This record gives sequence, structure tokens and C-alpha cells, in this order.
Amino acid sequence: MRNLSFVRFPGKHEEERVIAVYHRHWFDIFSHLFLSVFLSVILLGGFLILPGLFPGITESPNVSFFFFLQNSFLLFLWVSLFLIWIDVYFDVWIITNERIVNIEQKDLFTRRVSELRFHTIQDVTSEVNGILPSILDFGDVLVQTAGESPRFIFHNIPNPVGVKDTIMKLAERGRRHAGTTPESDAPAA
Amino acid sequence: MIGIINLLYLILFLGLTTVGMYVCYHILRYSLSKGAAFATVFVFATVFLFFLATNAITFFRIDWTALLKSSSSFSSFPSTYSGF
Repeated sequence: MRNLSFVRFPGKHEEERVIAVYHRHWFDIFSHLFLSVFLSVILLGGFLILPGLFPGITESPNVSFFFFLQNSFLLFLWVSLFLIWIDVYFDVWIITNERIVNIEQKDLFTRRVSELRFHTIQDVTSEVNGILPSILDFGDVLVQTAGESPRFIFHNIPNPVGVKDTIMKLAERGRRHAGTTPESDAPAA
Repeated sequence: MIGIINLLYLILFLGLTTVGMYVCYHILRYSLSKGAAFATVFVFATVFLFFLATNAITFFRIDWTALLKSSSSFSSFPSTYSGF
């Protein structure tokens, strides 16, 4: 089993042990970065082709301006790649021996941290939709809890079926410790 | 005109520096692992500072007077041509 003692997150308890950490699947991260990567390829192609098509831009005083534009585009691309990466990679789901913690990066300045205790879990579902998710084995895991709290969703994580099984086992153990069953947690009709 | 260009560039430069600092802060503050956070910030900051420095150097190398003169003569080309 992977040693995850180095993992730190807000609100971690002293004796809490991290069992697993899930980020979005690499393909999902790549699909968000695709536009920036595509633009950078176009841009690099343009840098090579443009001087051939317009020889005037390599002559003074245009050449300095052309270099400045090239550099500015690269700078913007570098920053935008990291901004997109932060937005996607920093969505994280942490399973500990006590609870599930979901840290969601909504945008650059919005971050939501929510947690779920195992004994409140009623139902866990894994969903793999589409050809590529089926081939690459990634999808969503939906955790339904008792009461009015909203569903907990693991978005586009790798091996959703395995994650579902892990959560089910931990939920079962959590319920045994709390002395409850899924039925007794459910609100009365 | 050149004063306005310099002022606009100053705003752009400060904006980019702020965004770069924010990216570093974000990675260091919210990464799950400290080691990975420092490695990522090192990669980001190295390339970012290189691009930012070369950006400033290339900006101050531009001969704005000559560039503006050549672009204004280019834009008035049709009227000059019609004068023949």
C-alpha cells in the first residue's frame, strides 16, 4: 500500500490516516489543457512560417516588435496553462480512516471543502459514460448520504469501480462502529 | 504616445507579476505534498521569470518612434498613392 503520510489538507486530525487520494484522470486534465496546447502549436508554427511569408517583419524596427509579440504570447500561454491546471488538478478527493474529504477548486478564488462521515453513507454508484472513459477506465463515483445533505460526487477519477468498492467497505465498517444500518439512517417517510 | 505605451506595459507587467505570484502562492498553500509543491513552483517560476525578463528586455528594445512612423506611413499609403 502507498505511504500517504506526507499528505496534508485543511482540518486534518492528528491521528487521522490517509487511505487514498484521488485527482481527476490525466485524460480529463489533458482535455482541459488541450486548447492551450493546440494554440501553442499553432503559435510555434506561426513563428516559423510568418518570417517566410512576410520578410518585412524581420527587418528593423519591426523585428524587435515581432520578438516582443512572440515572447508575450509564450508568457500568456505559460500562465494560462498553470491557471487551467490549478483549476482542474486541485479538485481532490481524500479518503481517510475517518471520513471522505472533497476539496473542490471552483475557480481561482473560489474553493470549497466538504466532508462526509462513513456511517452516513447510504448508497455508492460508479458511472462510466462514453468510449474513451471506458477504454481509459475513468468516470464518476456518486455517494448518496442519509438526510438532506447533497450527493457527494467524485468527478472523472481513475478506476471508479475500485473506488466504489473501497468506499462501500469503509461505509460498512463505519456503520458497524456507529451501530447503525442504512435503513435506520434514512429519514422517515 | 510613447508615454501611454509605457504606462500600458507597466500595467501589463504588474498584472502578470501579480498572477505569477498568486499561482506560486496557490501551489504552495494548497498542494497536498510539500515536496511536490516546491518542485512545481520551481518549474513554474523559472520559466515564468525567464519569459517575464525577456519580455521586458524586448519591450525596451523596441524603437517605438521608428515603428510608429513606419506604421503611420504604411496606413497613409493609399492617400499618397492617389495623389499621383
